[in-house]
Amino acid sequence: MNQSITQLGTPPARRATRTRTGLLSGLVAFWAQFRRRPYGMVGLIILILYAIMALAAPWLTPYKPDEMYLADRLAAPVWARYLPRFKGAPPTLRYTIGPGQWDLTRHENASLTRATDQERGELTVVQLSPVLPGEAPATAELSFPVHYPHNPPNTFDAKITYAVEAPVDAQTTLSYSIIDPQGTEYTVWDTTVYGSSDWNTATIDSRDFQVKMKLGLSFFDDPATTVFATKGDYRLVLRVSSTAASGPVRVRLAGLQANILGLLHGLLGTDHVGSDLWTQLVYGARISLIIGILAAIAAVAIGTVIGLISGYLGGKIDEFFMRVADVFLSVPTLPILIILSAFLGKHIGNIVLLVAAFSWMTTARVVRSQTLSLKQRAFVEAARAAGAGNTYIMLTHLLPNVFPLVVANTVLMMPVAILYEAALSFLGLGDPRIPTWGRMLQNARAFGAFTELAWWWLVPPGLAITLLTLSFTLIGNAVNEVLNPRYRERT
Amino acid sequence: MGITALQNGVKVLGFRAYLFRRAVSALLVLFVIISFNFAVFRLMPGDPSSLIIDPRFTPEAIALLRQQFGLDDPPFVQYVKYIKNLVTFDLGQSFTSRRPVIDELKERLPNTITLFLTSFTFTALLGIAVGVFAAARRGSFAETLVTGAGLFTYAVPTFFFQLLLLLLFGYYVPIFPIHGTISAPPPEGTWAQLLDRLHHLVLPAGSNVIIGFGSWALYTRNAMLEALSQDYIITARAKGLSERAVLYHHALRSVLPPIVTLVFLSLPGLVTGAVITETIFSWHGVGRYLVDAVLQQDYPAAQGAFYLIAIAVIVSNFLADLVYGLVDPRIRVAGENA
Amino acid sequence: MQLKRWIVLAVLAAALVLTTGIQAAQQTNVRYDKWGPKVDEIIMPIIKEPEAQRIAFERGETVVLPGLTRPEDIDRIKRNPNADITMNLGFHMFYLAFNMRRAPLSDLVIRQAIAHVVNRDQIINQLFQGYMLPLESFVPQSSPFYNPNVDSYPYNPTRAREILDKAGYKLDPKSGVRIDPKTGNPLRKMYILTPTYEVAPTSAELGRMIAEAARAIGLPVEAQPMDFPTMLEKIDIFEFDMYLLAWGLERNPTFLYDFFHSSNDVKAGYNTPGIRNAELDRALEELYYAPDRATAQRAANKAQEILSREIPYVVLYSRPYIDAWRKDMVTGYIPMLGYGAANYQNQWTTLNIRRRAGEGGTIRWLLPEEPKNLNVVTASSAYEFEVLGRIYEGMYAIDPVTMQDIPWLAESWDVGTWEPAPGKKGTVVTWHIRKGVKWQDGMPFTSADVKFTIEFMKKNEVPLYQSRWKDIVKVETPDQYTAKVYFGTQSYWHLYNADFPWLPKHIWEDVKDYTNFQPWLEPHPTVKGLTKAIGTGPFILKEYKPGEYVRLVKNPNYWALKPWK
Repeated sequence: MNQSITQLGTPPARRATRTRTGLLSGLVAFWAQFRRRPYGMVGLIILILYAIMALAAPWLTPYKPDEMYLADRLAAPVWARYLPRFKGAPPTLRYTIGPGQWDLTRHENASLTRATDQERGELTVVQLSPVLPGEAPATAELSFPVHYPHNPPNTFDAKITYAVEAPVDAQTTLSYSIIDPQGTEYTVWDTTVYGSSDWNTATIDSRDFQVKMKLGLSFFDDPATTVFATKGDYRLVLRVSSTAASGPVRVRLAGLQANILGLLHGLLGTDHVGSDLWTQLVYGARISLIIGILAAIAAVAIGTVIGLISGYLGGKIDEFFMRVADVFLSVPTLPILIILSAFLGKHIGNIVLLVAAFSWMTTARVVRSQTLSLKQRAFVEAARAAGAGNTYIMLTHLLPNVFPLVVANTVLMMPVAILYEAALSFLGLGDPRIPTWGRMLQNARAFGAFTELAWWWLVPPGLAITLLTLSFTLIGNAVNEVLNPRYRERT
Repeated sequence: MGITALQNGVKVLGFRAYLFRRAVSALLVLFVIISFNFAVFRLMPGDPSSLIIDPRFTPEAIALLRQQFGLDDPPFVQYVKYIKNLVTFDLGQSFTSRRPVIDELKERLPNTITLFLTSFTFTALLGIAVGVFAAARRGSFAETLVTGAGLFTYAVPTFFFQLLLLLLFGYYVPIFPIHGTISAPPPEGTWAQLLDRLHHLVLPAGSNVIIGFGSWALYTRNAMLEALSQDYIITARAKGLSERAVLYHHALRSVLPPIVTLVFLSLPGLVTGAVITETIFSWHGVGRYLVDAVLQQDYPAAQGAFYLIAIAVIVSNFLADLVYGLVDPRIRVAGENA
Repeated sequence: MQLKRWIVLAVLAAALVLTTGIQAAQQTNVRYDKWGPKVDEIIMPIIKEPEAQRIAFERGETVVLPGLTRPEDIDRIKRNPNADITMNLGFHMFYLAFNMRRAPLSDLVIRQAIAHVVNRDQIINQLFQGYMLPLESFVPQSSPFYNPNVDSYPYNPTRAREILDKAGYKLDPKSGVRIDPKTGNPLRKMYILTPTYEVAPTSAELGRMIAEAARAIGLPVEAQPMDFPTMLEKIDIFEFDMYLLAWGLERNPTFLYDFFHSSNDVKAGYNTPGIRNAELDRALEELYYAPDRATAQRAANKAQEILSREIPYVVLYSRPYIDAWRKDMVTGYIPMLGYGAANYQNQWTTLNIRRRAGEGGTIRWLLPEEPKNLNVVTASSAYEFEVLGRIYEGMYAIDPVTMQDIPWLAESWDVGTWEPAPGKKGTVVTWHIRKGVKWQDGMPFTSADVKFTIEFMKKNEVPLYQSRWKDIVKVETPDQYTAKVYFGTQSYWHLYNADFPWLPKHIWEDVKDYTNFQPWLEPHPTVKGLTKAIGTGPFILKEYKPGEYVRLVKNPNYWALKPWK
């Protein structure tokens, strides 16, 4: 069976046809051998799963790897709710409150209508009637009920987009409060508008010192733990009031977006900027595979070319290339990668190039020695006698014959490339814009996985690298066993 | 090239000639690396003086500093100075600490060597022992376990495993220190200090051993199996020697030379691995110095650390060649036609 | 118009309340002794990894976690019941600089528009979780020279659009880019240089946010993260439109002269925006060569007003110094305006900190970086001074609340004038040295040491202190306890230029090559157990084990061991 591969291309005369069918039948034969190796098949299955993960990334997760504040920082995975440490922790709650969702809980000379705006869509409009000087101002209180059965969160925020249409002498006040189940009211934002105002967006954030001041809290207190201290029914309240004698006041509201950032999120929780870790893991598969494949192909391509030239041409050229390979083999790879990646800049392409530049030597040596033995064969001699050029012989006679070797080398090279990339990213020298597993590990180490004991941040990327490396190694070994019978006998 | 003998039809070099060849080759490699090193650091982005400049420095002060660091010389002059300095181990002054780089490296070298020797010794001993054990029980569940574990530890990235250990034994169950080579300050008394050092060594060295011994075990096992299938072992068995005697006196002895060679071949990898281990465990060593220097763009420091590491790797490569040549004369092949 | 003013006032009021609130809190709490120290030994373990630092604090392996900047650290520490967090306004500002040399940023209108789209609150909340103070003036709030009454540009994209429309920069609805009325072409792309995400993730993100906001009003701005040295180089040769950087500043506002005087608009000079304004130059010169404090104050106010009008920078925020203390273990840490409670410039904490268990004993104090050289003449990093600041002292100290000078190694001083050349005026600073101050080896501290130190700095052209020695002409020592320092120019600030970390003459006069001198590695020539790194300060450097720890012990010869007058 195995013979078919080593036999490839032996008869020189019918080369063209033989090579093609030979390659094909060689592959079929190879597969027949390969599938009988359980380790190799396990490796292949793992690899296929990774490939699926990489391709289907956008369908496996609704987020992007760099999307921030999907939940609070360092949120635990949702399944952590069964751990005592996270019992009762809140998930992320988001409310977009539009027209029709508000209850007009209290009003004085005020009414609620709707309008449509070209840019902003459906609007809630609060209409306040004019009041005489000395009279109580016209007021409206809009409420939205929120059921909150969790432990206190760390942060909440809200965004209010509003515009005021009023006579020049009008003084309109808007305020936003949260009323807890006991009826205590926390006003976290207010503003006064003189006359009319164009569209404005107020961003209210519990981390804002002004919110803390309003609630009488110190710089290092969390308003969220005060406001959402109890479990039960809360109300989000928007108050509008105005004193205008000369005409009606219309306050237009383009929705209110209120969020409570959760402490539980997704399959694997969030990182230090509230990005989804599962998303990073899934997208990391893409990057790792791409890096592994590209770097391995580049390295093996360089190695093959040099090995072919060196082995076939021999002499001074061979001497030179083998010296160069010696030098490269003697270079401490990781340290030089560290230095060069700092020099070339932390770009993913540079990492691929660098890894390739320092991993071609073994392939070159193997291909060279194979070429050395091939060029003694009759069919090469014959081709040369027939006047074929060197390049032609190398491309059409030698390359197809060393090809299986090249494939095996490529597979074995991939984990090396992936591990180098991971190590560089981990040391802080990876491409900072790209979510790789190495970078996840680095972030975990730098931004709190250890003190928070968040093993779900550390273990998945590490395990992902391990399994991928393992799968390549299993496949590579199986390929080698098939191609190299001596190896098989030994094991 | 003193061609002295013909063995199996292959021209073989005399050992001395072989040694000479390898030494020249090692020196060549060293020269290439340091020249390359020079080029890279000259071409680094930005003006190195901008890195050493405190924002409060006046332009005059910057000019003074440039002059002090020799940044105003023409490149060739810088290169000659550079080579001269490297040969005399004058590695310049660190941009960030303003201390001689060689002093900083000297301080760190003992730590790196300690970590290196401990990891290395235990990895080799454990690996060989497990390999022999697996070979002796061929086909057993234990062998499968050893093979599987060897393969797995080969696939696990060292830094991931080390992070896991750190999380487990430094944070979850804090029984080992998480940084440094000694306590601050160390306890009184020689024995107490030794124990303190060992306590700090457990995680970094232990993780290296666990990750490293697998491939050793696999290699030893394979070599042992090959040896066990040889004729003389079969003869020995036939003579009725005990299995123990066969294993340890005959098989193990015959696989020792390649294993010793492997010992030396694995040296460069271990030197390189120090970079990551030291970074993770905040080990005050040469590897971490390199990473810190690169991250802070402290060129003289990075250059010095790299020089030291390159020498270590080249020397261990040379030693490996040397041992290889001693153990297996077939290696001393003239020309490159093997 | 009314609305705009109201918002301006509201923002100003909030900033004022914030500033004064924090200051008031300090003033009521600060009680400190001018003598000490009250512990026998400080062990400073060197721990670089943030996670290891946190856990060391939580396990009580350090009593302080100094200089907290990362929100994730602050959020965790503030939930620790044993932690007390101190916060002080810092001499720090983060800014967006414009290159005013080239169009379109040479046009004030464009700069105003960009200033109006910078959303400080969003930046501070999103990037810093609220742990930064918004800043608009060119002198931070912590400085006594801070001027709050300057033009303000609150976040208001509508206003920004109006400004641009009014100036004729019409929006091309198709491309979304505004047209330059002078050329009739769309505005060219402008770039904000920032360090990379890896080096400074917040700066890089900030650049992205500002660029996005500018694009929303039709200004084609793009963030360009790059390698830090490359970025500095580009700034040095004016190849930039905008960039983001921070300054660590000092108490005295003379930095305004360095940053904005037209004479510093040279390549690699500090006036990177290239602002050239005669009125501003006059104010800055008046500030730099002010004969007295009142003039300096007036000139500083004026300069800030002009700068806020001209907008060479959009100043964004100022970082407060946040330090966490194990209140169950120690007490006596003193908050200090501008420097924080744990900073080396705050000698009050060094003198006052003591264990809850009682006076004396050992405390452990985290050092987040290697102190490296420990040579006070070449030291450049703050971490070196974390150690050196406890060994060496200056002539005056700074009051932690009022920021006023307090006599320290000098009992008093006079500032006078002399004639360096006929018709020219120069400043003379006369130090009256405190009697009974001893070096850590027991030798007395005298005017000879003062003369030696200044001449040493000048002779060796020590870069770190260049701005101080460059105008000094000579030093005279009429007696053992008087030193007169003569300057070739006249300035109120020369008082501060006449102060150095004083070096013991009997140690340093033998130093040939100060750049390679490692005083902590060389044993003291006569006193066993000491090194050559001796000063007059409260602590003696006993041991430095690189990578592991620094050990400081109480100086038995310290002049302020007991209360003094």
